[in-house]
Amino acid sequence: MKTFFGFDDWVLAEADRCLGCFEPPCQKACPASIPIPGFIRAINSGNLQYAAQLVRQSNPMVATCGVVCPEEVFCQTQCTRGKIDQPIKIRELHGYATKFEKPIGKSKTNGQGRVAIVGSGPAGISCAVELARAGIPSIIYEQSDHPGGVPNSSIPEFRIAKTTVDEDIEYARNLGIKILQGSTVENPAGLLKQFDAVFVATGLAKNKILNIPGESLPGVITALPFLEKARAGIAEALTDKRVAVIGGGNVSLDVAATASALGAAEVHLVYRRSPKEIKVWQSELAEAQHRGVMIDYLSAPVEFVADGRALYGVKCIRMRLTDEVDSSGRKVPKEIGGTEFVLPADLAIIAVGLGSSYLPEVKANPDLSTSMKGVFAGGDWARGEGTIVEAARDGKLAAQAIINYLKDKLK
Amino acid sequence: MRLTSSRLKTNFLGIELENPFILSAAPSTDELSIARRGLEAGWAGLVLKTTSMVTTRVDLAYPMMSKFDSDNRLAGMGNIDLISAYHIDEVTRRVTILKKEFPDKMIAASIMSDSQTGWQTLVKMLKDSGVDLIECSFSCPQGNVGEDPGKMLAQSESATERVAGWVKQAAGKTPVLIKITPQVTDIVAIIKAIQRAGCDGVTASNSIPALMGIDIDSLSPIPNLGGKSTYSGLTGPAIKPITLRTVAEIARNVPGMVISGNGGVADWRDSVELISVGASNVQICTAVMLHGFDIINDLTSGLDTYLQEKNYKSVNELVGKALPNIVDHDHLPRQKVRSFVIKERCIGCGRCYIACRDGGHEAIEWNGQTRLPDISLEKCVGCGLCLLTQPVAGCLELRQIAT
Repeated sequence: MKTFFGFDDWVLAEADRCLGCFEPPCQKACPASIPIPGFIRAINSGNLQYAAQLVRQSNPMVATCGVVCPEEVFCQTQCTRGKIDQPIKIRELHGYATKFEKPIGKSKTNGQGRVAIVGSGPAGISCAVELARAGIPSIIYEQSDHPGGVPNSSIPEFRIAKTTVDEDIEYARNLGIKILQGSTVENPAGLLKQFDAVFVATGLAKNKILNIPGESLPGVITALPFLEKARAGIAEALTDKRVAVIGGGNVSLDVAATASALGAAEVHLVYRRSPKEIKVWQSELAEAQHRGVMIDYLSAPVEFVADGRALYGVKCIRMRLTDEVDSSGRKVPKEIGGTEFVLPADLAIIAVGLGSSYLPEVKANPDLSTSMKGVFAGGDWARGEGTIVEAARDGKLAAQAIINYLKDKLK
Repeated sequence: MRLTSSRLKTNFLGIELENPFILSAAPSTDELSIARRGLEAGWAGLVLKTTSMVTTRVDLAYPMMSKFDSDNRLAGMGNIDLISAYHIDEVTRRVTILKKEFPDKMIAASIMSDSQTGWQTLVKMLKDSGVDLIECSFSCPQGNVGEDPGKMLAQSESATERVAGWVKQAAGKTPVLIKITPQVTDIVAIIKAIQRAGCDGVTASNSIPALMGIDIDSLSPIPNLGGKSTYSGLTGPAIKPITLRTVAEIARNVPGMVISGNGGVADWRDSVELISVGASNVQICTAVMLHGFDIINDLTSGLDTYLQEKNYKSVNELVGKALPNIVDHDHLPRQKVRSFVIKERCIGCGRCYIACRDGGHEAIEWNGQTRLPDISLEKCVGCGLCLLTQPVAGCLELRQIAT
């Protein structure tokens, strides 16, 4: 159906299924607290601009989240409608709502100080947007040559298009927010001379490694550089190559699926525990498997083996689960002696988690302040690996903390 | 699947019907080929679309059909159709043909005119053609015989009595039904006028004058005819409650009046309702226009199964069976009822809480932890609003409590 407002059939049908719950559990489960029944009702009544306003107001990264927010983690898992038949496709609906957004003009400044933001990822952008709405100008320092952080540098293009992330960045820019690309901030304390507060949201740029023999071989690489090159479109084709990915999280699935997309003949994901313990989103798992990725459960790498300098495989050992449970609540795996085997591979990619070596002396507090006065922090750098919507929430909360801080400071 | 059942057989003003379902005077009976297929499909009879004298000009305008939705489903259909463009000469020819092809079906015709000569000529011509029954449309704004221009004939008690008298006089032994409108102050007075004129029964009722909507983009009314429109006749599910009330009101106040029910019946359950408030049979148009003649199979089998399960030997036993239960407000039992949450069925949506808070009696407490509503026996008056918000059947229940 094409109506005078111009919307699609499925949207109306889906929006119509929303029960409009009291104290909506979906909204409670959304880190950005999107007023979900409210915007769905607006869609249903054809009030699409209002729907766009509602979702953008609560989540400055709404276009991005409308595509990649994990459906099995937040709002949709709590949807009451799921008790009748299927949960509402909330992510798709809010992604749809953003298509009707009208550009807004620059926000006015209130003279209540200026803020520097380190990192233009979801946390940095959200903080800047929330500050701008309160009349506080900010400048974002971005180390790389493009803004957007993780969704624009390491999530595979087939999961989210650059144009989608750019919608969120454009929204921020339209508010008057400046992003200085190629600008590295060595020490945020130095910025406090020109700015009244600093928000650190650099994300995690350091790949964790395994500390096993052969890790420095040229055929052994880490997840982030691989994903970044692939997203930038400068990765080498992997035609006829056998690729082994070591990991067990969502990033490792992105890596494996990307390797497959680059033409690899065979992609194995080596994971030390069983399918029960793997901490991934089912949608990502399905995507990787759809692309032909094979998962070797209960296997752990012990050595990267080479002929001279040329990698020819990953020596692995079979694992079994013990009754012992670790801090994540999962069973601890143990090696089974004498079960070593070599998984043939021309390329091995280590994707066992991310960390940061940035500002090791600064400690982030739960309220998003830090051990350094005037410096606030959020996103993955402060909390560890998380989702985009959680980073956006951090940005919003940090902005509130900064606004309160500036009020006291400039009194 | 065709069903013949003795339970469904009924005699209507001396005409044997194999089931109580009749195609009403409407587009589905306006072409010989279409009408023929309707009878072949299993309908017990039909009323050919309202016809007129050959001198009557029928100037149709298109598009004529529209609808309005509620919760994204069709709630009502509207038409700005007029009477048939086929005049009495063609209609009488069709009556003869259909009567010959379908001797066991009721072949009726609907007429409308604006003078005594006109009405009586139409009746005589139909009688000569072998028609089983004549229905007179007193609810078309076009035929008011000069009284209150723009009003329907059946909106005037005196005009109704006078014209009904002319028709019955000309019809003699051929049964005459007067098709009325529910849009009157006193439906009983109109029906009594019809009774005084000696007519055999009424068709209750017709489409309801309505403005189907305004296109908020162009501010053209709906249906849009080059930016202009006019009032439509509203039919379909939205008018069923009006039809039920009209039929019930006639049956309760004019005993012995034979009623053919018409308006808003979409399935067999609706037909049970209409018959139970006093309709001897059911005319259907909109549901056929939307879903086709084959709905007759569901109508007949559904009604037959119902009659069987409720131990009725004949559909005739059902006629008016619900009437004793319709009373005036001051005769209603004053009982003490309260709403109860059926916890096993509750899915925790909280819609009942919102409704009671903002449109009821603030009688529901909400537990944010368990997401369960808790209804206060003291504050709840048993209004029943919360039950209208049920997301699943049976999560709330009204129960009578000891006084």
